[in-house]
Amino acid sequence: MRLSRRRGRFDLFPFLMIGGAIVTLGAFMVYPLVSLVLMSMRDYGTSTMNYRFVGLDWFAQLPRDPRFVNGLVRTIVYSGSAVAGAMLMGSIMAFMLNRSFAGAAIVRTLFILPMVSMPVASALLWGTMFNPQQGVLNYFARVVGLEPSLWLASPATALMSLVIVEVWMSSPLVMLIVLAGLRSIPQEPLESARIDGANSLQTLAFVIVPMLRAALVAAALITLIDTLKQFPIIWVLTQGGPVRSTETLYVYGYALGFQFFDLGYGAAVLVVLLLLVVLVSVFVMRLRQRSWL
Amino acid sequence: MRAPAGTPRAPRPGAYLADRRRRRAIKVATEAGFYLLLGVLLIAFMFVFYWMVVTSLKLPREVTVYPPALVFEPTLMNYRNVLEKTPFFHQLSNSLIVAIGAVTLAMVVGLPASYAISRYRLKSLALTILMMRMMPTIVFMLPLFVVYQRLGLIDTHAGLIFSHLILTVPLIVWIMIGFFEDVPGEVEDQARVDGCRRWGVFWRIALPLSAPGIVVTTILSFITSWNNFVFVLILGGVRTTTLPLAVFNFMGFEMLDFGGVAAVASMLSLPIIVLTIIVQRWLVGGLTLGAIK
Repeated sequence: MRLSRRRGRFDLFPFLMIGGAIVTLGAFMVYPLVSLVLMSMRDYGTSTMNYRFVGLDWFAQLPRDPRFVNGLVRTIVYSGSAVAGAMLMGSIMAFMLNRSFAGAAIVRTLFILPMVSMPVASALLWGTMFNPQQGVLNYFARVVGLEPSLWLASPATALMSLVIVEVWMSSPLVMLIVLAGLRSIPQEPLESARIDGANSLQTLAFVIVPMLRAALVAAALITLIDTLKQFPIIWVLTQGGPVRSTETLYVYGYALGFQFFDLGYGAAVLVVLLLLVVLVSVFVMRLRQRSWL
Repeated sequence: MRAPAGTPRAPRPGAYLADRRRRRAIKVATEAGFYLLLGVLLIAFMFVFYWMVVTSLKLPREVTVYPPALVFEPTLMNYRNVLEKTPFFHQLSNSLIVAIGAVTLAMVVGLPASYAISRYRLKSLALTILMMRMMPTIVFMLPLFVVYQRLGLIDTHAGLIFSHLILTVPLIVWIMIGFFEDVPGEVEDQARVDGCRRWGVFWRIALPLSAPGIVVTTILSFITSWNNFVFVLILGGVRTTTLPLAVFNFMGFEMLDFGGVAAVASMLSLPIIVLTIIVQRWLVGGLTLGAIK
């Protein structure tokens, strides 16, 4: 076969094939990224055309900005709790769906719905349920004898209320990844564990979970990235309030850039968010399984 | 005299039967526990959707009545209100224009690129695209907003469609790599021997053979574009308001109109939910692929 008869000559075909994507990604992703980093080193006056180069001054100011520190802390608490919650719920769902029972396919489809339905719409509906006076959640709380909560209306509970919505929305993806991991586990080690007299808890802890490690790590990292990037839930339900208790870095960066039009400093905050996400995605990239990629 | 702990006792007559009974009891209890947990999870994750539909069918005075009536006379009043009070169909057409435009354009540039990546093993391009896919989209928005203002692209359909390429192109390229790899190399080689040029191999062989992947990818990227909120919030306006922004604006002055909120949420979520249920068998693979690989 002489598929490679052109070897030695410059081959244009692959470049033509990737050309459109390169131009698109270059214009809408690479250029804005470079531009953002440049913006974070500028002090804009009254117009976007009129700026002064300030180097890394904005970044030096960040640690002294209580709103930035608050944003960083809120981001870590929000993402940390949401990842923990979604990992727990998603794994339980995956383990349940891994055994066959009547209607398993239907249940799996139902469990996927929170992840595909429109986040703004779901968040809005959660908002009506969280309503302290007329919401259904406080009705349930009273029915089971719990103290009604202020949910989103109090700085003490607002962030955790958002975490509930985030867990609801993120668990399905964890479930799918863990379920795919469970399906790829070979059966022999499970059988030999049983023959060796391991009970089901021991099998889970010492055989299944170690073999699932890759899937669990992948699920956790991807959920972490998704939660770091969360905006619709927060913006629809609290817009960062009350008293900035739900103001994550994303929300702070958005507010700086698009409400106060503080382009330089806003860009600096967004660069920090970007670095956080890139840091996590480096670990995701190391999970790749395909032979050449 | 008592036997020291740990010494095996002589089997009593009937111990075998008792043991079997005990095992059966444990098995029944495990089964019951399984279905109980499954039921609890289903209720916890599906309640939002149930509540959304039920609330949307209630009259305003019934919405916040507790305990909630299980039986009530359904009304379409909330839906009629929304359709009359908001330019729903205008916003629906905006959403469709943007999503269809963004998916089509992204397919045109993304499919050839994805094919070239999988055939020529363009590893660094693939990893760059994966990295960009994980970045928070807000980091592209600040520079893009400045450029859009200068070019007069704010509040235009074209501008919004272009910006959505940030979502759809990396998604399509990344997911399709896997599907193109599944196209057997022998078939392509045979076509080359028969005189097909490389573009023909892509157009006549690889594309038709990976049609299922293209369907999944189309649906996933459509949902991603359809659900997106932050782009239209920043780059949109009155003329181009898509549904997620419309819902958000609706909330602004109607937050206490629970029925209206639920009706809007239902109208936006139900099409995607129905779509998901129809294609779930093919979608599941794509959802996990979309997340990592």
